[in-house]
Amino acid sequence: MVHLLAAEAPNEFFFPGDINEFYWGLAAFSIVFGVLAWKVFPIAGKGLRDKADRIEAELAAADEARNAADAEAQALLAKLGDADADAAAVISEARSTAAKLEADAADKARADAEALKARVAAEIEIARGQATADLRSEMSKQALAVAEAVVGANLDDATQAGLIEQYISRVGVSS
Amino acid sequence: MSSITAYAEAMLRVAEAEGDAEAVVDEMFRFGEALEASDELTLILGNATLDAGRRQQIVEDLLGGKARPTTIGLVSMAVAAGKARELPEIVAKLVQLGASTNDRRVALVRSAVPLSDDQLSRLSEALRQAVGGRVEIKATVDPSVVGGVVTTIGDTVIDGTVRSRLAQLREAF
Repeated sequence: MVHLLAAEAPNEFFFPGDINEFYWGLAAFSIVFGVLAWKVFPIAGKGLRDKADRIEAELAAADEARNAADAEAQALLAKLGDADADAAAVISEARSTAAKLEADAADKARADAEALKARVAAEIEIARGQATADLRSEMSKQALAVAEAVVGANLDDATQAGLIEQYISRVGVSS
Repeated sequence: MSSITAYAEAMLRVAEAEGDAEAVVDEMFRFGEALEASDELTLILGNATLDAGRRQQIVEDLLGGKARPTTIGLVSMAVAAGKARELPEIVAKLVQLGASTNDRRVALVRSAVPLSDDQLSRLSEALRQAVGGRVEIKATVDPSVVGGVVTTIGDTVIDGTVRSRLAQLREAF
């Protein structure tokens, strides 16, 4: 820089050959710098502060949002934990209900089977009794038919006469 | 008065007018028994599509020489009047009326074999003592009784047949 400024100068020194130029330049620079310091620097500083404040606010908001998100995440995790517990409870209850239903169904099936068995046994007993009665009746019919034929064939005149005499005596006695 | 009773009374008056009521009633009774025992004879004599004269001829052929003319005439009249099917009932009423005229009750006696006169006499006496009055026996042979005797007097039945004993045996089973 110094070498550049020196190169500008015709006397090859640091300051220009005309010292007034230096003073005018210094004055102009001071005026410009003063104007800048008076008008521009406060505005720029305020802008920078506002921006810093905004960024800080945004950071705070972001932090708050992150905290809220974390809290929500925690809540969700807690809810997930509750849901798991609920699911476990529901599954447990379902298993209990299923076991009870299974037991009830087994009891009912057992009772139905017992009732069916008893009914079938009773029906068999009735059928057996009926068959026995039918057989007995049929046998008695056959036996009586045979007896009737045998009696009819063996009733000779003497027997017939005996039956008639017996009848007459019975009628006479009944009077 | 039913037509059965009317016919029975008319027949009894005719028989009494002819003077041999007891014999005619007895022959009518025999014919009634035969008719009751034979579905075929009942069908023929009760066949309305058959000419009345033809039916009367059948009666005369059946009874001619075996029964009194009065009996043949009465049966012929009933058959011609279309009363062949009711003839057993008419005869039963006739027998009842004939017996009551003589102050007697009718005893219908069925046996597997014919009863001798002596047996009939003793049975009549036994029945008289049993029912407390004079009894007129109408005996018939009925093989279905198998053995023994059954007597019906009004609503009273005195059953001493082998058939009834076998029936009782069947009931016991």
